Amino acid sequence: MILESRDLYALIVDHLKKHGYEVTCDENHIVTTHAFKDMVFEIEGKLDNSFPYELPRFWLLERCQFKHLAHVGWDNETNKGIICEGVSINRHLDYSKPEIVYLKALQSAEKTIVSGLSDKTKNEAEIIEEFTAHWRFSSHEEKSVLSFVEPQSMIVELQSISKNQSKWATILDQTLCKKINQKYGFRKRIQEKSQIEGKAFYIPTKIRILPPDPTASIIDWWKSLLNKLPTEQTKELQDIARRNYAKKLWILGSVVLQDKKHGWFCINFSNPSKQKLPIYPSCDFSNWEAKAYNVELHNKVHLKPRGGATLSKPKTIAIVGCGSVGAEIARQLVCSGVENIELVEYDKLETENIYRHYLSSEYIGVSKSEALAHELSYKYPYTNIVKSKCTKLKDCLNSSFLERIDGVIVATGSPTDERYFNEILVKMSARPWVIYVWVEGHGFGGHAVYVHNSGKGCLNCLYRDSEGNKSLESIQNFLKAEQNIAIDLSGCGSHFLPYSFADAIQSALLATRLATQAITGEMCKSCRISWKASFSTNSTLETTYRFKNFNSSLEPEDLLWEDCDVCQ
Amino acid sequence: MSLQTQFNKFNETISLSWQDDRIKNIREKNDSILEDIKEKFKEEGYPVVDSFKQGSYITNTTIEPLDKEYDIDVGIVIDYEKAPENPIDTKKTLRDVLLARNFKEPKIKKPCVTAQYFKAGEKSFHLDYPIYKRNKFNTYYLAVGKEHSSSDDRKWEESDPKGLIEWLNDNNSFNSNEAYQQYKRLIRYMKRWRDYCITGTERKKIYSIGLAIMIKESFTMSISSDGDINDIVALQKTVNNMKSKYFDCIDYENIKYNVEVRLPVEPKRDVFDKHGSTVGTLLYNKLDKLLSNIDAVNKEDTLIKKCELLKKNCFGDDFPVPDIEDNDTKTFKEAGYISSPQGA
Repeated sequence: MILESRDLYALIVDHLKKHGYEVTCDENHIVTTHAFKDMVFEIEGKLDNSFPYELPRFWLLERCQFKHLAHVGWDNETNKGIICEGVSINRHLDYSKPEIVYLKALQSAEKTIVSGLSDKTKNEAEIIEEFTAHWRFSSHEEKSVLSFVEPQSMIVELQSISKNQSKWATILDQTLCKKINQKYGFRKRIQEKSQIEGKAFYIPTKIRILPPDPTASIIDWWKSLLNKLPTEQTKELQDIARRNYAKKLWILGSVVLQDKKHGWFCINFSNPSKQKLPIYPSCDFSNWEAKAYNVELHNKVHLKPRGGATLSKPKTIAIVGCGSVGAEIARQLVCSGVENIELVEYDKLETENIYRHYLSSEYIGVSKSEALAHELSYKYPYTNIVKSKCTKLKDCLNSSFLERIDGVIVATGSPTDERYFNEILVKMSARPWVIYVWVEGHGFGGHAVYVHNSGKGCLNCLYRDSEGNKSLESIQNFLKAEQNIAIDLSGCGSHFLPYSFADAIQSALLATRLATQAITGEMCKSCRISWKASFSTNSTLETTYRFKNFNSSLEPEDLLWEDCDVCQ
Repeated sequence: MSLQTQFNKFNETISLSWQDDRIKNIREKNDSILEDIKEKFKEEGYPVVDSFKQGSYITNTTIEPLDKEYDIDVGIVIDYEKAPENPIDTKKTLRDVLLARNFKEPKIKKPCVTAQYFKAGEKSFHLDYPIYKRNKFNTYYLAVGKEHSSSDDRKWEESDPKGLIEWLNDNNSFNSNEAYQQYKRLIRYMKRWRDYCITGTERKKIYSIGLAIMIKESFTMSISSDGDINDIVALQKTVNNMKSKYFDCIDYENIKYNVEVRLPVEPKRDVFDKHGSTVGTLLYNKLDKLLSNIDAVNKEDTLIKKCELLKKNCFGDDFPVPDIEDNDTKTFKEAGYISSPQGA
């Protein structure tokens, strides 16, 4: 039932009154009056067209008189502060009872205000923890600063660049920028036709400080921060100021929060004439104008965990086989935070690959490994993806290759090469971990086998029959061998194993999940994992016992075969 | 080469099917005798309305007999309404047919008529003919009694020979065809074990049907989720279950056991009726010995030693022992190459 706006407001007002609230209402707003100790505050609620399918939004009225309040925004022009609705990203609302939804949301907003008012220490601690968000209330609205700077412990001179009509002023750290690969597309875009704009410094602080009150001056806040800095840092800043004069200065700062997190701020200082930089307490601030800027972070610490990456010591992974499965693994691993990837492949991208391969048609005729390295480097900044000198799996058995690799992912789809590689590698005393991954024709499923860098259990353990004899047929597979599985489109040489792009991605995911666990050290023994299709495009093919009885997709299973003559 | 491969070879060696050349003579003999039986029964006024293979041939669990004395069981069915009141009459008629075919001393046994065939003075094979009458509801009644049994001991006893076959062949309780086949192999192994490890009159008391029922009701498969088949583990677990399921200790001092295995179909009688304690004690001890022998096999390191123990202590000469240890384990069973369903 959709109520007319007027009825909806009336329904809610009535409901609030029944619950003892003092309510006033006009056409678009509901204002409730609340009391805490001897303080009175008013909350204004507004119902968007999307209500009751989304929560109402609430503002604290007469915002400025309450000064710092955690989870409450500022709007100096209206003197209202929007109240944060909490950390939950998604809510499931009972839209049939809008009055109850409104009441519950109002109670939550009221609780936020009361919590801020009742415990000053806790309130300030929460604001400091939300430093970057609160900084935004004081910042310049039109432009943000895009920061490529990583949190550090030292003061660093930066480079500030800007170009016309860009939504960002950009702050780069030249040393750290070297860690961003040269092919990264966004960096190229930012730097092209840009100009250096004044001086720029990064100042890390370990002090816990409240962000500025948006009604107060940024210069005053800056001065108070400088006064709190340790003597050594002040001296260093004085020294920098003595040597640097400018009309324009960008200060990028970080404050340390809990759990090794950082809050960020950026101030742009401008002066009609070149002056000593205003970065120590006793300097002359009189002609300096300061503006706060919102900081958009573009650094490794901030970006990589978004893809699920941990920031442990970078590992080097080799991917052998850059077909539809291998290329997808490469992409997924980069998204998972793997920085160093060496791609091993002998083949070029062909026209017939286009609908099953991650790479686009612009790379047709180009070496798959080279094209993939280029594509991923263009898209992801913190990577070192290279085409390997090795082109075949057996090339990877040389010691110089194995010494620099932490893990190898083999996605060649060739059981002969893979078994040979496994047989040689498993007998080495020091070896990287290896994941073998393959997909089965007609979408019956896919498999990944993890061979730990020590102990028993290897790829060869799977090459046995149901009686325990060595077999060229893998017991892992869902389709029996010796069947006409390939599809022939135009005669000899045009056969291909039919599986979909989705099958390739699904199989790649198995390998990626195993690899990320291996990288973080969670894997302590060899294992295997499969996915099985609930249906297939071909029902005439003969399936194995394992296929008929398999019901543990994505669950790791033991790999060891006690009679294996390779790893035993 | 694996132990399971040896079990599979053993299974192939001992298995005997209805179409096997080894029983060609018997099949032919049976076919012609059946014609005579039908003619004679018709003359007597109770024509044969059906005949069917019974026993292990129809459940595909026949094994090559160690003494080479093959046998077949063929059920003869007459119409309920036309059957004589005295079941022994039909048995005598059948015996007369066999006498006319020059069989020496065909015997009227309690459940059937048996004819022994000799070749060069040696027992060659025997034929067992149980006789049933069948009513319009498809209920079967077995002609029970010996030639001179008292009127109390001779009767038409309700029976369900086809139900028993169906029960033994029913694969619904198995989660795969592979498990069903393992169950059938276990019956064959146990029958050979019985023939090898129990001799003389004692062996004759361990009825095959008793073993088959026990095995089906106690069966624990051993097939991994990958399809790795392990018959020795299945055998071990199943025998363990049999021991705990059918035996009651009836004399703790002298350690005697009773065994009770009921037919799963009518008349649901105890297969070992009247021999419960003698068969029970014998079978329990023999099963116990079998388990300790399997334990010993499992403790051995090499395939040859395992096979030698199985041959010597459990199954006899038909259990194969590989010639050279490990030689074949390094060889793939397929020649050269296969086509694989894998890609990436």
